[in-house]
Amino acid sequence: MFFPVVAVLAAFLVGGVFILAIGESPLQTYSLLIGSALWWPDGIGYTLFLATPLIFTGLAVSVAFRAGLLNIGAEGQLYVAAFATAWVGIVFANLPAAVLVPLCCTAAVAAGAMWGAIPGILKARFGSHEVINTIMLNFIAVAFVSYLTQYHYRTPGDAILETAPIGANAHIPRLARFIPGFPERIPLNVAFLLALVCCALVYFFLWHTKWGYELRATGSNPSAAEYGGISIRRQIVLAMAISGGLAGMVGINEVLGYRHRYYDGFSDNYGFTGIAVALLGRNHPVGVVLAALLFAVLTRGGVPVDAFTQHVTKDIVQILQATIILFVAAEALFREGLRRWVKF
Amino acid sequence: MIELRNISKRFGAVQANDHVSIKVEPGTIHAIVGENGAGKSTAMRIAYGFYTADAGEILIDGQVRRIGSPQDAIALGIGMVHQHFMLVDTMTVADNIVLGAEPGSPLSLDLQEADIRIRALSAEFRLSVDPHARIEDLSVGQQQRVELLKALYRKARLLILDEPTAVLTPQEVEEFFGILRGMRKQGKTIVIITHKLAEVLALSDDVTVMRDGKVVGRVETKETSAAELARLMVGRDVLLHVHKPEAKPGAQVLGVRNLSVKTAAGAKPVDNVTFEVRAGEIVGVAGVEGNGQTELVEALAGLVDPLRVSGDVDLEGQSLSGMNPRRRRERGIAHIPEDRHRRGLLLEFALTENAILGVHYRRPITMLPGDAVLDDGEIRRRTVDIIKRFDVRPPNPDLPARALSGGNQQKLVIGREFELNPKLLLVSQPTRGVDIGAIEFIHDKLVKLRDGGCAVLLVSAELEEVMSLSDRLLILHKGRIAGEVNPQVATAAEVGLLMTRGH
Amino acid sequence: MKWSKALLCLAPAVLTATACGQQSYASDDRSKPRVGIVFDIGGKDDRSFNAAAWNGVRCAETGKWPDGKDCGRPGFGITLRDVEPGTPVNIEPGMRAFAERKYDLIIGIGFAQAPIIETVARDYPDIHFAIVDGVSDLPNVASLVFKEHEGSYLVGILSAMTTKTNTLGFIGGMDIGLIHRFAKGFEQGAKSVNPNIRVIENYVGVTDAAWNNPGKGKELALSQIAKGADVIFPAAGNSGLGAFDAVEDMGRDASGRATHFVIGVDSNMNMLKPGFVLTSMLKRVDNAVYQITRDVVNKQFKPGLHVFGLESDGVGYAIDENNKDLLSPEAIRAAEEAKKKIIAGEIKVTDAMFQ
Repeated sequence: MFFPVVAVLAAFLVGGVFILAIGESPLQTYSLLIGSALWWPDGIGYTLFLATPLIFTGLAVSVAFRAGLLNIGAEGQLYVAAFATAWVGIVFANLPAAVLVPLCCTAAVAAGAMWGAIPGILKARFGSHEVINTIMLNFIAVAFVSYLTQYHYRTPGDAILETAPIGANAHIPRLARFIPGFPERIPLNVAFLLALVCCALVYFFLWHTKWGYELRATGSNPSAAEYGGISIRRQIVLAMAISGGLAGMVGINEVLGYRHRYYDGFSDNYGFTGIAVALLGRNHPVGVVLAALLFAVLTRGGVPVDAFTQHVTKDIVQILQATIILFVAAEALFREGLRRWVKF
Repeated sequence: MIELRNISKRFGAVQANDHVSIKVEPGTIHAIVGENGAGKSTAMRIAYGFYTADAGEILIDGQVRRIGSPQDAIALGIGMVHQHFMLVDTMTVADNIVLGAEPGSPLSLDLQEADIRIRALSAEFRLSVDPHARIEDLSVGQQQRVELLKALYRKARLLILDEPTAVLTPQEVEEFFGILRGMRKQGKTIVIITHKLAEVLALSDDVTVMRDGKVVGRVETKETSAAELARLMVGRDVLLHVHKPEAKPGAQVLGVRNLSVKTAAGAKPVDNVTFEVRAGEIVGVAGVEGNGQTELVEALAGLVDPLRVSGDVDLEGQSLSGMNPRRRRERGIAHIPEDRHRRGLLLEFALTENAILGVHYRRPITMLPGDAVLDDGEIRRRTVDIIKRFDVRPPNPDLPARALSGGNQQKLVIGREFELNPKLLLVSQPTRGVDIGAIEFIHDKLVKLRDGGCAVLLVSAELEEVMSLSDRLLILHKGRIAGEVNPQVATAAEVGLLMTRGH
Repeated sequence: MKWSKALLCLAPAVLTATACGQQSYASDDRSKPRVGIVFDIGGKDDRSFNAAAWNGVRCAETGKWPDGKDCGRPGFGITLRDVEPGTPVNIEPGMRAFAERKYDLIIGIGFAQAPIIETVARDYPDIHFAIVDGVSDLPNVASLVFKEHEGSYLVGILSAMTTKTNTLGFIGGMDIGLIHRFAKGFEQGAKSVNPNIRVIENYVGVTDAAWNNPGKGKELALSQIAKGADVIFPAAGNSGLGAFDAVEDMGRDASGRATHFVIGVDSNMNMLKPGFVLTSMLKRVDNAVYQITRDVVNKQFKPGLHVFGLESDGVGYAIDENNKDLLSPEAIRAAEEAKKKIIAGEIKVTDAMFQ
């Protein structure tokens, strides 16, 4: 668990060299980056808001990974789910909130789960690799919902590719309502709490239920799982569906909590960043939350760095993210190197 | 010839070698024995340059030498044959032998010359093998000869052999020993790493015994005995022979009629096999590895796609056809798989989680609500119970299975399967990679289970083991039952013939 | 847990950073008017729409274009900061980053920012906002819009008078109203010259990524060329640059004249591939942002609709030394005549966005 922290610090060091090279002060840049991401209330509020989708996708990738599957398709799953959420919110706009909100949430989870289950079924049934299928389904998902938005659900005359707004009953409250002094303008909403609850649920599911046990056993050693009477095929489909469902919950944050409509292209590569979040978080719910927060800090802090430094652009954030991922991915190498370096 | 002096090597928390000193006289066969994890292989890998020692020195012909890589070792005339062969299956024997030491200039490969040298070496050391055959078409014994030739081709004067007989049939072992004796006569020095005491006594001149990373004894072979070596290895007196009372077979438990298993490629690893196992008896299955034992057991355990299995299998008169592994377990079949790393264990998981594999989905492991939640208290009780009764060490239920030695891993698997109170136990290679001390323990447990009325089907590549444990012995050859013998009466030679020739 | 230990070590570092971060907010020179600009996804180097906006604010800052040449108007010595969001989610934080620091004017580029600027403007009623290409009726937002259809009509005439195949190409970024305005005006202008002319219309995509895909832009241009188009008008941000490559690939005839032409959009792009760019449909975003900046500096900010059409030189077409030999005098005459008629109201150009 110590290693990801080392990787992050090392990445900041490397990033610092870059900043120095282009003639700015790394210390000032970093304090601007981190400071603007953590100040009360806007900084922290936006950081938590930006972390919310990453927690969902990080969890999604982690669950699949625990089953030995690489879900590259969280992006497509969350697109389909966000659209489904908006669709329910538009079509059933007149239902009371107590019915409509759960219905929208169910739609988000169900749509994501369904889209995730497809590559699961393909793998279980035909042995085709989930990485390729999830990537392909990403393209299909993005194009499909764009098509639906463009030709069927957009408000006529709207220059922006987005659906009509969902019914007011489908809105979920912003956290400003519960925290005194927290401004209403910050879009941090109940979905963030839902993300934390999901972390706890995923943790309990994976380590304290028989289903989680079967899922992890499948990922750890499918031959042994089979020997232990576990159906590998079922686990593959199940894991992909759960993973997709978690990714789909991004739609709750986006549609019910933030924009109140489906906005095409809303995702800042949440599904792909989720892979990095899971990697950095060691596929553990607690790690996922911390990693999601870190990435949110970088995203939130990147904009002021872009705006208020002379030379550093927001690309520094990408350099930091990439270096972190590189270090985490190269952990084995890095460890060996460290050991030798310490020894000699 | 070679001498290790005070070699120490640490891997993380494990002191693999602790001031190990081994001296090998030129022109002798020197055996290094010890249980798994005693540090035999580590010491020899250091001699071959795979690892660098943390401390100590290596002397070749009386001179201190630095061996930083296998290239250094080869240059000094050291060759090593690993337990798992390092050959390229799709290339020919000659290609493999010259690989890494290609004759001719870098741009033109002179295989003509290589061919001549290989043939000369084959003749000199009676290592007959066709230089133009592909490796994948050779038997295991022939592949081993290729490994030997590879070392000799590089002008090795000292050959280090890591568990060379593990993969050979009794006949092949005899032949192999003949080759080694011939090499000794030609002036080669041989170091053989093994844990089979009979072979040590039959072959070697000197023996170094290791335990827990240390050298605990060095003796001349003609002045020692199996019992003494075993005591040195384990650190206490060991029973080398199974003591078992007469079997009292009861009713038939497992009935197998015309069982065949087909592979996707169309081969038939199990071909029309019929036999029965009764309560209270151990039926052994002997055979050279790869003659259908694996497929037979996996088919009985339900691990083979039902579409590829034909014939009838019943348990206490009720058919098992088409049942998945879980339903078979529920019927009372326990299974100790041949490869505990591949099948039997979740190596990254804690002992607690390994102790419930196969029963994790039902009471008493699960509890309310909905029988979905794992009962951690119950799991821990069960694990601690297995650890106690099967002497799993270290007795820490939270360790990952990977942290255990092979023997302790096996004891955990056995304990878990015994916990099912099975009617039928399928057990493959129960003592593979297991220490002598644990072997004794496992054999004893198997006999006790039998005496409790369980039907046991035992598959083992160790002829000695199946012969001493079984009450009846089936010999598998090319997927068919080549014969059934009474192990109390039959000799190893007879069984060996059935294993290799099938009649 | 070990995590908590690591966090414990990190906490002091983070706290110091937070404190420092707060300080650095004050580092801007508050004596000067401060202007923040948030670009569209394409970024300020798209040589087109965003680049025009960048030209305008730089001119207002220093009196010079970004390349250092004099822009012919006075600079105001403002503090200028910019954000290139890169993804849609960064637009709002970018605007808020300026708003939180009480900037005097925040300019949003592109119609997609309209709803965002409305949200932010509502939270900061004391700050002036300007949105290019979008419309808002908030009392602190100026909406800078252009009659692209009129400019497109004129380049449509120029294209129709130049084509030898009677086939023209139009490449839009996204299939949306704003771009339909370009397409419709272009087609109408071309058909006013020759009703039998054919305009092939293609769009790069349906998401924001469509503005940033020169590869696809080139593919579309090549396929239009294959269908006979010899003048192509891309209105697709960065993606349009692909069309420039495509016509250049087609080469020149024996006399040294290009066989196929492209029309620049928003900025003057005649110099990008000299000889291949027939003209550029100018959308003087630079003028618009310069003017709104000037208004703020002079404390004369006016909210509401600011329309830039032919009459105010808000749109037009570019003729310079790079393309003056490409256009026939008749063509220019026809375009100038149409321009007068449009200003006079004698020609009504269809506005496909608000028809």
